[in-house]
Amino acid sequence: MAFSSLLFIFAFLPLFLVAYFMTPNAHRNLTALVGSLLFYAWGAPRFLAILLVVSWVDYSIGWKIYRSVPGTKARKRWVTFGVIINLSMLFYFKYSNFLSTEVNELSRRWAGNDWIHWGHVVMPIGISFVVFEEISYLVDIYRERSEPAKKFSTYALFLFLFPHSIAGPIFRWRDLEGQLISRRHSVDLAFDGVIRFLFGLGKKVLIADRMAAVADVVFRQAPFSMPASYAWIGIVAYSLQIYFDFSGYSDMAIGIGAILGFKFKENFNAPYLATSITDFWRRWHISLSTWMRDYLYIPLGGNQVSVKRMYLNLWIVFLLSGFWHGANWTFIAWGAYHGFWLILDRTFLGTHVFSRMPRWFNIGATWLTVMVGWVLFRSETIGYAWDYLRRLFCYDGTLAALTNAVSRGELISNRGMLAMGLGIAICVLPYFPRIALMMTDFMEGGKPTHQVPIFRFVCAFAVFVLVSLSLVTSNFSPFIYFRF
Amino acid sequence: MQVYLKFMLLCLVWIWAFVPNLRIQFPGTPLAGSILDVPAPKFTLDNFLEGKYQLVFEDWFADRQAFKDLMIRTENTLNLTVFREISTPRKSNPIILGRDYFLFEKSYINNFNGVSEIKGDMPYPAPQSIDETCIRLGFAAKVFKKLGINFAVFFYPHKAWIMPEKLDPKWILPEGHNRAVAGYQSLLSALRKCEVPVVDGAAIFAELAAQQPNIRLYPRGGTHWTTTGACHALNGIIDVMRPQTARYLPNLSCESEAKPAAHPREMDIASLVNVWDESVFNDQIPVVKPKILGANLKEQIHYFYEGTSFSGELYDLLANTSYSAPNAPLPNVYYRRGGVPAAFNWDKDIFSNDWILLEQSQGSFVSINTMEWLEDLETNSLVYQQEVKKMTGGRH
Repeated sequence: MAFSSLLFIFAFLPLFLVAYFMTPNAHRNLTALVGSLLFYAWGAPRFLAILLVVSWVDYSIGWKIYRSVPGTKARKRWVTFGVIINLSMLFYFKYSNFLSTEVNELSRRWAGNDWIHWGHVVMPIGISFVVFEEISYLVDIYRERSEPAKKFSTYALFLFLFPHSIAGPIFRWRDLEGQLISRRHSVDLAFDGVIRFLFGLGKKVLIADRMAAVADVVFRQAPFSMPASYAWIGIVAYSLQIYFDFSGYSDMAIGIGAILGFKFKENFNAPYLATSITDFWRRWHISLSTWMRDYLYIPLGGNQVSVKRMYLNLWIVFLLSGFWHGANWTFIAWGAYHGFWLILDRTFLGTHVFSRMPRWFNIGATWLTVMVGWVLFRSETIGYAWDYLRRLFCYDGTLAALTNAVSRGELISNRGMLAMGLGIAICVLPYFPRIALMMTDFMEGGKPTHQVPIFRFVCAFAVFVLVSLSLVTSNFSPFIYFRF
Repeated sequence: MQVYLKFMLLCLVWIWAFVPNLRIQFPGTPLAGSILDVPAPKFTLDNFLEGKYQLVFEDWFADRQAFKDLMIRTENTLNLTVFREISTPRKSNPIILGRDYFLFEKSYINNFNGVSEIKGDMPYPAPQSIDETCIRLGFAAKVFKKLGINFAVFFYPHKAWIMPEKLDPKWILPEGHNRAVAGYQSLLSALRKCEVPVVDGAAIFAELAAQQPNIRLYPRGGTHWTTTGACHALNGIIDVMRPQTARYLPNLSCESEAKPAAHPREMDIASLVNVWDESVFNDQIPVVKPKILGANLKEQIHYFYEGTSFSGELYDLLANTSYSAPNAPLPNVYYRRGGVPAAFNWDKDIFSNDWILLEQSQGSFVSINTMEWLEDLETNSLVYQQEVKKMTGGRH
C-alpha cells in the first residue's frame, strides 16, 4: 500500500487518524503500532512475523549490551552478534539471489554447470531501512549514546511506524525515543503536517510520476535508436523523477509524523543546488549519508587515519552505499562513481577548482556529474549505461535507426512538459536565498503559528484535488525506493 | 478562533478523503468503454499471505470509488481543454488528439509510422515469411477460383494514412511513413505475384481524396470509415470480384445526403474520451443511401467475410441495397479472438458462398487474423485439402 494509492489516501489514512485521535493519549502508541503493523502486513504479510522476531532478538540484545560493562569483551561480542544477525538477514533477503546468479555465471563458463542451486528469495519491503535502524539502535547503546527501549512495543513502533517503515527516512532511536514516550499533539502541528503531506503527495503524483513516464519511454529504447536530445530529456526526467519521488515521499512521512505529534528530521535540502559532490551528499537522503558516516565511515577510521586510508574509506563507504541501493553491478558502479568524485573533491577539485569558480558554475557542474551518475543508477546493465552515456555526449541530430524509434508525442506529453518545467523551477529557484526561504515556508511550513495560512491551504487543497483526479484515472506507480 | 478555523479546514480535507467511501449514489453518467467489473475479492489466509488478496482488493476498491465518473470526466476535460491531450486509461489502446479535434487510435498511428504493423495483432510468428504466406494465399485463391467462388484480400485504409494532415506533427516519425508505404507496396506486389486478388483500399481512398478534397471518408470522432467511405470501398471490392465471375455485379452509387449529427458508430473513439462535452468531436457527416447503378441483381450474393469491425458498414450497405443477404445463422466475421462458432462447418459454411473476402488493415504483413483463418481452413476443410492435393499432385 503506497502513500499515493487510493486505498491509503481514501481509506487507511482517514480511518487510522480517526482511530488514533479517538484513543486516549496514553494508548496512542499502541494504536499507532497496530496501524503500522497492519500497514506493513498489507504489503508484506509473510515477512512481518520474521521481522518481528528479529526485532525481538535485537531488543533483547540491546538490553544485554546495556547491562554489560562498558569496555568489556562481552559487550563487544553482543553488539557484534547483533550487527551480524542484522547484516545476515539483509544479505540473505537482498543479496543472495544476486550472489548465486553471479557465481553460477562464472561456474557455467568455467565448469559448464551451476555450482549453487538456489531458489529465488523474495525480499521483504523496506528491509534495508529496518536493518539499518536496528544496527544504529544497537551501536548507539554500545556507544552509550542512548538507552534501550523500556518496552518492546515502543521499540517495534520505532521500527515499524508506517510513515517511514518501507521507504525511510532512516531514523535513529536516540532522535525518536523522547517523542515515542511523550509528544505533543496540536491542531497547529496537524495543520502544517497535512499541508506538508499534500504537497509531498503532489510532488510524487503530479511531478515524479509524470517524469517516470518520460524516463521509462527513453530507457526502454536502445540508446543509439534515438537522438541525443531524447537521451538528455530522459536523464533530466529521471533526475527529477527520483528527486520528487523520494523527497515527496519524505515530505509525506514528515507530514504524517507531524499529525501524529512527531518531529522528524529533514531528509533533503535542495540537493540539486549542491556546489560539489560532497555538498550533494549533505543534501541528498541525509538520513542515509549521516548513517553511513556514523556507522561505517567513522568505525573505519574516518578522518583520523592517513590521507590515503581516508580516501579508501570514503570510496568503500560509497561503494557499499551503492550496493545498499540494490543488488546489481550498476548500483555498485554508481556508488564507486560517487566515491571517486568525493575523493577528487578532497584532493584538488574543492581547493583548486570549485573554490575559484562562481557558484552557478559549481552548481551546474555538480548537477551534470550527478545526472551522469543517475544513468548508472537507472540502467539495467553496465553495458546499457555505457551506451547511454555515449549517446548523451556524442551529439548526433539524426536518428540512427527506426527500430525502436519514439515520436516526440510518445516521449513527453504537454502535461509532462509542464511537470518538467515546474520540477526544474522548484529545484533551481532556491538558488536565490529569498525565494528559498519563501519556498521552504510555503511547502514545509515555517515556525508553527496560530495564523491560518489560507493561501497555503488553498494551494495544498488544490493539489489534493488534482492528485485525486489523477490517481483515479491513472496507473498505480510504486515508489522507487521500495526496491531498497 | 484561528485554531477552530484550522480544525474546520482539516475536517474539509478529511471529508474529501473519506466521503467517497460512503459510496453515495451520485446520479452521474456511466463512463463509456469496456470497463471491466472487478469482482469482490475473496479472503483466504493463503491469498492474503501471498499478496493476491491485496492486489484484487485494491483494484476492487479503486473500481468502486464513489464519484469516479465525475472525477474521471473532470480529469479528462482538464487534459483536453488545458493540455490539448487525451488521457489514457489503464489497459486501453491510447487515443491521440490530432488537428481540428480529429481523434486517432494510437495503433493506427504506429501503423502509419511503420513502427508496428497490425492493429491489435502480433505479427505472424516466424518462420512464415511474406513469400510463404503469399504462396499459401495463392493456393487458396486458386482453389476458390476452381470452385467458382470469388475471392479477394481487402486492405482497409485507416484515418491516419488517408488524412495525415490531421495528425499532430509531434506523433509523426521522420522517414517512418515512407518505410510503411514501402512495406505495404511490397506486400501488395508479393500477393499479386502469387495471383491473389487484392483490393487496395488505400489507393481507392487516396484517389478519392485527391479528386474530391471535401469528401468525408472518416469522421472526426470515430475509427471507422463513414458510409461514404464504406460505399467506395465496396465498389472497389466489386470491381475486383467482377472479373472473376460471369455474374452481373453492378456498382453502387455513393450519393449522400446531409445529416444533422454524427452516427453513434462514427463517434466510437470520441465516446471513449469520457469528457464532459463531446460536442467538439461532432461532425456533420453525410450519409450515403446507395443505390445499385443499373438493374437489380437477380440473385443475392452469399458471402463469407473474415476481418474486423470495419465490416459493419459494409454489411449494412450490402444488405440495404439487397446486394446480399448475410449467411445465417452463423456470424460472418471470423474473429479468432472472439472464438470460432462451435457449429461452424469448414466445408459447408465456406464453400457454399459466392464470395470469400479476407479483410485486414493495410500494412507490411498479412494479419495474424487472416493467417489463423487460413490455417484453420487448411486443417479443417476436407474439400480444401482435396483440392490442394489435386493441384499439387499430392505434394502438399
